Amino acid sequence: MKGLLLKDLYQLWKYCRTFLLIVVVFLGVSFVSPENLFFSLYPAMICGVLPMTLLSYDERTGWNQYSAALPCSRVQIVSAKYLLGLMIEVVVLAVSLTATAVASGSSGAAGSLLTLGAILWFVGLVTPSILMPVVLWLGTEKGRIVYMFMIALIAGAGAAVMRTKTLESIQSVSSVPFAAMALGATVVYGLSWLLSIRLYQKKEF
Amino acid sequence: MNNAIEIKGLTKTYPGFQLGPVDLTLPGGCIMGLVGENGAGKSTTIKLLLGMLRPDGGNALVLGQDPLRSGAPVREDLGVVLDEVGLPTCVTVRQTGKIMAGIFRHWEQETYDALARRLAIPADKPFGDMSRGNKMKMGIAVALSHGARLLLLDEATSGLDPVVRDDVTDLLLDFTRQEDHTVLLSSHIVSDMEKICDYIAFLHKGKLMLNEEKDRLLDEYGILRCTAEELDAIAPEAVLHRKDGHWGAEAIVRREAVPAGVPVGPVSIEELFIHMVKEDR
Repeated sequence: MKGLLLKDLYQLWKYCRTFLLIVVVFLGVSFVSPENLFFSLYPAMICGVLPMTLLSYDERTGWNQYSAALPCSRVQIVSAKYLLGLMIEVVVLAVSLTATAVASGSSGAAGSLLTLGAILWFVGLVTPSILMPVVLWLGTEKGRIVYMFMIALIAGAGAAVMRTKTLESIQSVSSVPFAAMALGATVVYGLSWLLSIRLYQKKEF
Repeated sequence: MNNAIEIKGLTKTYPGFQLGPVDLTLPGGCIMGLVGENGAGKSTTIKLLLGMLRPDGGNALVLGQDPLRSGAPVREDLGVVLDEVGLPTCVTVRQTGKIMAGIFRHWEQETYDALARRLAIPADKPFGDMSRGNKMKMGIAVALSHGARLLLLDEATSGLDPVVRDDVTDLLLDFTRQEDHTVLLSSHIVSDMEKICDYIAFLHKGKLMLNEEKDRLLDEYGILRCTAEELDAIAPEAVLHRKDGHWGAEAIVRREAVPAGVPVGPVSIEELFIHMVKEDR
């Protein structure tokens, strides 16, 4: 497992630095314009697809076949990707909330930050929860249709958030439903992990 | 010595292709060459041995264990080099060592470093920028650096220049100096097999046509060059394959079935392989 994670981190650093740049740019904009939630949410959304990007590289380099010949169980191979997804979301969450808290200053109440955190967590986990089982089972080529659908959904959701939601607008709403949403996303992520393990164990290379 | 590989009635069917039933045994401490054309079923056989594919029928034991049931633990004892190696394109020799140290329980960093130096693998080049020869060397260095007892090499020497192929064959010979170390090497480059293999198995269109000790194979078969009329006089069951030309005939024959006094020359494994494949066309 440690080796699998390390390999993913090397790839993440090499190939996904542009994602990091996008995250920095968007967080920078959110720092300047803290009232608009889209700039805080977008990094979480796009970082949610990073594990799928890594799966795509695995397929292209033949690592998915090679790893099946190494002493790693299928459970470990799938779990490494899900664990990495969680680690990325935790980092994005921490950075986004810190940036928002600093940018909004006294206007950023703890309750609204909690709500924002819950929304970030939700949008960051929903995409991989749906995409990971599809990509692990069908591969990136066949899973591309679902992938495109999810990207369109993310863009649509982003646009909707951009139009309607601001940090101020969520301050007036109770955090409880958002916390429930985040909890629900975590449960779905867990179920997705179990489904992916089941599907990947049946996969032939 | 126990058998390193035991295959009984193994089959795998794809649309337009069926492997097997294959029956094959590889005693421990030996090198077997799995020879066959592209698409003969060599990679499918190796993937079945690794548990990467599920057989439709029959079974395979690797180091006495079912690769599907025993899963990851038995793969600790296997050194594997696949056709495309499969390492991430961005990693260097050092980074690969760190990754593998986190995967193999008995990773031998010193062995790996020594092999990388011996094989002159460029230390700072990312894997994706390496030549095919260096990529294969990387795969082999990994396969030999975790105390494997059985090496499964799928087309590991294909596309390599003769010098690198010689390096690889030297490494395999070094590996089998230890009594319980075994190698299954698939390739369509038969000349490499002839140099190092104890056993030769021929796969053709998914069927195992032959599985014998190399020396016995070379003793058993010979090549007969004569006129077409002289060849006609030989019993048909002695002739494995014949080729008639303007200047005479050439045939692969079973030495013991050829009448005494008929001069039968030595046949190479490559000639034998080509004749057997052509006979089936």
